[in-house]
Amino acid sequence: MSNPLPLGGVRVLDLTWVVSGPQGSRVLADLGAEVLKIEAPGRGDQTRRTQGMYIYFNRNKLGISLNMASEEGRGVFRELVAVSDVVMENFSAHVMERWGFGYQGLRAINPTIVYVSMPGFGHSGPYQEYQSNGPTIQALSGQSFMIGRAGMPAAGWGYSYMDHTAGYYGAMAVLQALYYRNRTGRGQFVDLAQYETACNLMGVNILDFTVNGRSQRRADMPAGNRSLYPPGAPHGVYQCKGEDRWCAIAVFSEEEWAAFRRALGDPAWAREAKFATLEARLASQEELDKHVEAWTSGLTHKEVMDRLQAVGVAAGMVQDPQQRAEEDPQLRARGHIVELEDPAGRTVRVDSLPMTVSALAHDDYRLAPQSGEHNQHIYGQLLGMPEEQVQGLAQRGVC
Amino acid sequence: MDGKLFEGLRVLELTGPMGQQCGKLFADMGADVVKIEPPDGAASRKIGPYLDDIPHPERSLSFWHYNTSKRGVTLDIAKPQGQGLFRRLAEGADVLIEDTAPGTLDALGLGYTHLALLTPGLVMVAITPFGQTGPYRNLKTSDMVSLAMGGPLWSCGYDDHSIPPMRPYQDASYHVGSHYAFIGAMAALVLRQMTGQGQYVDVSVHEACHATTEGAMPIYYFNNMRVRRQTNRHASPRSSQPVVFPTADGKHEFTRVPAERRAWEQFVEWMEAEGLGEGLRNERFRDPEYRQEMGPQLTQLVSDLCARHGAEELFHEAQQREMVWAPVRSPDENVRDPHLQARGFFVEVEHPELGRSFQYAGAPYRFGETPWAISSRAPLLGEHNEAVYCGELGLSQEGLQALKAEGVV
Repeated sequence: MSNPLPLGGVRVLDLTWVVSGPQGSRVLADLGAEVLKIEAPGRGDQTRRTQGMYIYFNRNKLGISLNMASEEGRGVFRELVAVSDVVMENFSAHVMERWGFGYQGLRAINPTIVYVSMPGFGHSGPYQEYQSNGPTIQALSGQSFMIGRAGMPAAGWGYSYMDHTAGYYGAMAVLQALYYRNRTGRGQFVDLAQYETACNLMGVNILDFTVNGRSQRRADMPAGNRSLYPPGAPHGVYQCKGEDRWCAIAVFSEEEWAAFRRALGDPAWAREAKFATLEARLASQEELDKHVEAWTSGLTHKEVMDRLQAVGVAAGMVQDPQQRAEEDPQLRARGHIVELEDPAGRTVRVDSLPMTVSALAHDDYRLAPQSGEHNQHIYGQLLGMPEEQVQGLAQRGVC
Repeated sequence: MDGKLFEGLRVLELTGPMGQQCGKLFADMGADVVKIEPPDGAASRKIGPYLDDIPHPERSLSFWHYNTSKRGVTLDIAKPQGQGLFRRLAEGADVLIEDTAPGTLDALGLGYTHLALLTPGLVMVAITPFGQTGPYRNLKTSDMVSLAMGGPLWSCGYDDHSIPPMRPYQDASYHVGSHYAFIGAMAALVLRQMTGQGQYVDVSVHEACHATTEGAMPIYYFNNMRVRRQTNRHASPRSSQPVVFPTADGKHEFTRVPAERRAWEQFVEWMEAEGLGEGLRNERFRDPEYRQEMGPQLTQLVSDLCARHGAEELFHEAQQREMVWAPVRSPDENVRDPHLQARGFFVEVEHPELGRSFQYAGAPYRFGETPWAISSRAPLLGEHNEAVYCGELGLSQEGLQALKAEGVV
C-alpha cells in the first residue's frame, strides 16, 4: 500500500475477548492500526473453540500470548504500554485496577495513553460488579422486548447485536480519542457501559415515556412486522413459495399502494373501500395481510421482490446466509466478501469493513493470528528482548 | 478539562431518517452540526410518536431524539440559488453527511467531485441503502426491507417457523448504517490530520447489516451450515434449550444455566435454598458436558424458579451469584433503574419554545476529558437561518427575506 492508512502507526494493546471487544479492535485493525491481540498462554480467547468465529472477528490483528495473572507478565505488559497508543479491554469492571492498570496506572507509564474500557455496566453504580453478555444487555435495555408479535412473548434478537454494536462504539471511542489526542496531545479514559450504549439506542421509546407517559408494555406490543412510525400498510414479512422463504414488503404512500395493486394485476379485493386509504388499510390490516400472502405464497421470494421493485415498491427477500454468501449480486459487485488463505492452503472467507473509501483497500487483509504467533516479533524486535529471555518467559508460562 | 472533543469542527448534515444518527454522534460530542432541511422540513419530522400524540413537524419525538445538539437551516437545493448557498456552506465545512439517493447530488452539481474542488479537505460521507455502485443501488427500501436483505431478519423470530421472521426494533438498520458512517468519517478525519486531504466515504446499509449478524456468516463460511432462528436465543444450526421464562409478576426473565464452575456451585446452592436442588450435588453435574445432556431437566428447574419470583428480584438474586440473568424490560422501564440513576444517565433537556424540559436518553459512552452532552434540543424548522445565512455567509436581512419569498429557504 502506498497510501497511508487512517490508523497507520497506531499501536493498540487489545485485551478484549469473545465478540464485543474483538469486533471493536477489528475495526481498528481494518483501518490500519497494529492491533496486538493479547491472550493467556495455552488458553486463548474462548471463541477459538469455534474456529470460524475466531477467524471472523480477529483478522488483521497480530497475536501475542501473555499471562496477565503473573507479576512477570504484568511487567512485560508495562513495557508494552510504554510503546503503545491505545489499551482496550472488555473485562468486568475493576479487573484492570486490581492489576494496577486502571487509567491512573496506565497514565503513569504512558501519559498520552488512550484507554477504552467496555464492561457491561461501567465503572460505577450499583451494578458495576454485575456480569453480562449480549443477550443480558438486550433483555435489560428493552431491545428484546420490542421484537416479536403482539399477544406473544417477545422473540428477541437472534444473535448478540449489542456485542457488535458495543464493539462499534468501542472503535468509535478510540477514533475520537485519537482525533482529540492529535489535536491536543492529551490522552483520556473512556468508560463504555454496554447497558448505557443499548439504552441510548432506545431513546425514542424513552421519550415516549418521559414526554407522553406511554409505556411500551401494553396489549398491542410488540408490533411484530407492522410499522407504527411512520404508519404503513401493507407492511410485513410474507410467506413465499419454498421452505421458510419470505419477502418483506413496505407500502407507505398512496402512490406506492397504487403501484402495489398494479403489480398484483389490480385484483378486485384491492379496490374495496376498506383498503382505499391508508387509514382504512391500517384498520383492516389482518385481512389485508391475508390477501397479500395469498399472492406471495404462489411466487418465489425473488419473484415477489422483482415484481414489486419493478413498480417502485420497497420489497426485499429475507436472505439466508447462503444466499448472501453465494448469490447476492450487490455484495459481489462491491467486493464485500474477501477471500483469504489459511495455513493449510484452504480458502477462508470474511466480510470486509462495510464501507468504500479511496484510502482503504480490502485486498491486503491478513488471516487472524495463531495464539502467540507474533511473540518473537513483538517481544524480540519491538521490546528488544534477547531470544533466551523470550524462551524463558515461555518456559515459565508467562508467554 | 471540560473541553469539547470536536471543538471547532463544522459538520453539514443533509439527511432523513437513515443518516441522522451519524450527525447526532458528532453533535453530542461538541461538533457544530448544521442540519440542512428542505423548506417544508426533513422527512424525519413526519415520524411519530408525537408530543401529546398531535402530529406536527415540531412535535416528533423521533426527530427530537436524533437531532439533539444540532442547529438547523432550511434550503431548497433543487433551486440554483439554493445550490449556490449549499456550495458556500460546504466550503466552510469539515464533514458533510448525506443520505440522498445515489446520483442525486451529482446531478445538482453538488457531488463530491464538485465540492472537493472547492474544499479539498472535505470529508464527505454518503449513507444509502445499497451504496453508490452495484446492481441494487437504485432499489427501494425501508428499515425493515434493509434488515430482510442484509440478513438480520433471517436470524430473528420464533422457534415456530410458520411465524414469519420478526423485525428487530425500530430503525435498527439505520443505526448500523450510521455507526459505520461515523467510523468512516472518523477514519477520514484522523487521516486528514496527517495529510490535509479529505475523503469520500460510501456506506451501504445493506453491507453494514450483513456484517452485523454475528455467527450467521462465519458458521456458513466455515461450516457450510445455515443458522435457524429460535425464540430469544442465538440462531443456530442446532436447536438449543429455551432461556427466557415467565415470572411470577407476569414479566419474563432471560436466564442461563452457568457453565463456569464457581457460578454453577452458587446456582446449586440457590436451587437447594428454593427446595429445587435435589440431585444437583451428584458428582456428574460438575461436568459441563453432562449438564448439557441434562439440559431439558435443568431448563425445567429454571422455569420453575422463575415462576416463583418477580423478574427484577430474579435479576439481582442471579447477579449476586455471578450469573448473567436479566429481566426482559420494556425500554421505558429503565427510566427508574437505580444503576442508571446513580450514574446520572438520563439528562434533562430544555424546550424553551414549550417552557418545559424533558428527560432524554444519555451518553452511550463516557469520555473522561471531553464529556458527551446534549447542548440543545433539536432545532425548530429554519431556527438558525438568520444566524447561518446572515451571521456567517453575510447575507442581508432583506436578502434572506427575498430567499424566503422565493421558497429557497
